[in-house]
Amino acid sequence: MILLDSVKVTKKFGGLAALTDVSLQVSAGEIVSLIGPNGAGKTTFFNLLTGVNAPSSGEIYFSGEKIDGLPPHRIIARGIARTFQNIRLFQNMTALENVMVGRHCRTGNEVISALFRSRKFYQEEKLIEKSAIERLSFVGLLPCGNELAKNLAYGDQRKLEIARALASEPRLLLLDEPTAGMNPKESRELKGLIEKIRQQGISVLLIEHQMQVVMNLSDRVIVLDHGVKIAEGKPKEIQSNPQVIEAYLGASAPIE
Amino acid sequence: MQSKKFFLKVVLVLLLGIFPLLVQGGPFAYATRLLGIMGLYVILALGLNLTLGLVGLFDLGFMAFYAIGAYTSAILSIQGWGFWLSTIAAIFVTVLARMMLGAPVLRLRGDYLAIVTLGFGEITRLVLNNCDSLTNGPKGLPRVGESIGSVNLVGIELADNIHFYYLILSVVVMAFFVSKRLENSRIGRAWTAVREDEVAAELTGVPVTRVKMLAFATSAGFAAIAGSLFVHWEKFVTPESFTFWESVLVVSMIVLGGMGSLWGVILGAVLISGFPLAMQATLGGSFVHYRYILFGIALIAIVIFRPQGLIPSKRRALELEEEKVEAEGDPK
Repeated sequence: MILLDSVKVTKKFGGLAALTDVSLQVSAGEIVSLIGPNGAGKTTFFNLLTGVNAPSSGEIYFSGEKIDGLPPHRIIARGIARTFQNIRLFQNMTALENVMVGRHCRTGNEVISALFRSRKFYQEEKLIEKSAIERLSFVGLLPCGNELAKNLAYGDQRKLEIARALASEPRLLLLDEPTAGMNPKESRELKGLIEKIRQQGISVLLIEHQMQVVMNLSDRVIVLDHGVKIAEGKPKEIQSNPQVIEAYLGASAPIE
Repeated sequence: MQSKKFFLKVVLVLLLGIFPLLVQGGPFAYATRLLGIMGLYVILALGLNLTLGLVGLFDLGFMAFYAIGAYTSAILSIQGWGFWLSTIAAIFVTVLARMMLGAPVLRLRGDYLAIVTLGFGEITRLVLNNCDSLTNGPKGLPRVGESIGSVNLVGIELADNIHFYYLILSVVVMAFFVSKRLENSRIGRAWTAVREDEVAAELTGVPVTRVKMLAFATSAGFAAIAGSLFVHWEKFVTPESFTFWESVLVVSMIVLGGMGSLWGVILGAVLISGFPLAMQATLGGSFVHYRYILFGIALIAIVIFRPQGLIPSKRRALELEEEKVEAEGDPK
């Protein structure tokens, strides 16, 4: 079943074409990596998927419904959650509260019910707390649940972002360079975590620079360069694709 | 620790409860009135804390909504509406005005928001000053021959300072609990998330503009209640009570006390509104004119040496127990 379907998506910033006619698909239960040199348009593509920007042309479908142009909070309610290249946590809230905010789109208590504290209010608060605790323990952060997010170690902050995204019950999780700045041990742990997320039936679209992670984890790899999709295929095929090697290393000079 | 804190709070409330009775009739009876005025500022500060403290919206024209509440209540009271009814109407009108301002403005970034709210504050004051047919301009309300009705509470007519003191104190307590309940709720967490990182909040599923509007509207309710209490107590209102300077004072109360911290905001409001009043009472003669210089110096010192505020806000710790069954980690 095709979960995400991007059809000829183009994004222009002024005269600059950040993405040109990018078409790609992610099926349910798949882990797909999006790679490419810096400035290739990977994060821009995530921004289009999550509603930060609207595409200049082209369409994006999520489980058959058109989602381009929807505001971000609507898209996450449909089931696409993400993390950020530069960690964006709610610094002065506790780890647990960060994850609780992630439940916002699945819950409904408003100002009035918060004031009068009906039984429904307490029930929902309890459920929010319970499922936030579950996500925290899923990523292994339960012991520091009451720490402020800004006080967590760098690697833990990355995991907390994932827990917060998972709290919205996504069907597709977008991870933007989750292992950036991590040491090999932390990267391995994170690889395990992504596997575990897939086992929950959640598809993962991954931007990643560490080839070890990409090649081990992905079912498919898609390569962007200068906003154009230049290759797509199994990790093995991508590794030996001359166009990809050229994009990363430059064309070999003609031998005289 | 917890019980000691609770004990302190009970003592504080009891002290505030019996204080006016102790000084009644004595030379310090006037203190009851001063405390009542400070109470109005506490209500205002708690109201602005919802937007400035929790959501981080830099609002420099909060007094405009105090003014709209006060004038609405005054005009209706003169028409013969009772206190309770005119207060409810004032809340309605003020929240509506706030939402009409919020609809275009809340999409703006912080610094623009400050400029627009500042402008709105001044415009409101100028309209009150010039719209003679409705507000009697700078001469204020009520006009000669009219009067603002009195407040009736279960058959007792509230007339003295001491009556209003208790009425205001009970509203302060209510405002405190309302703030507390909002803070520890789904909406309160969304507010704080917006303050911390607006973009991340939107992408985590919080409809940012909508929750900002909720905070904006709720805070106006606080201002309207304070305004209605004010006119029914003073029995008189002019545009001069709602200057830009007053808006700045309320902002400083929150910054001084600690953004988003309820006890901090209360302390800030008490100190900042109490300081000039106390100075006026204690400093004699020409020295009174220098009170705002002293006040300014004290404010600068606190902001330099304690930038997080006098009582910084703390996050609530929650139980981290997990049922055994889920320990394997099932996020469904």
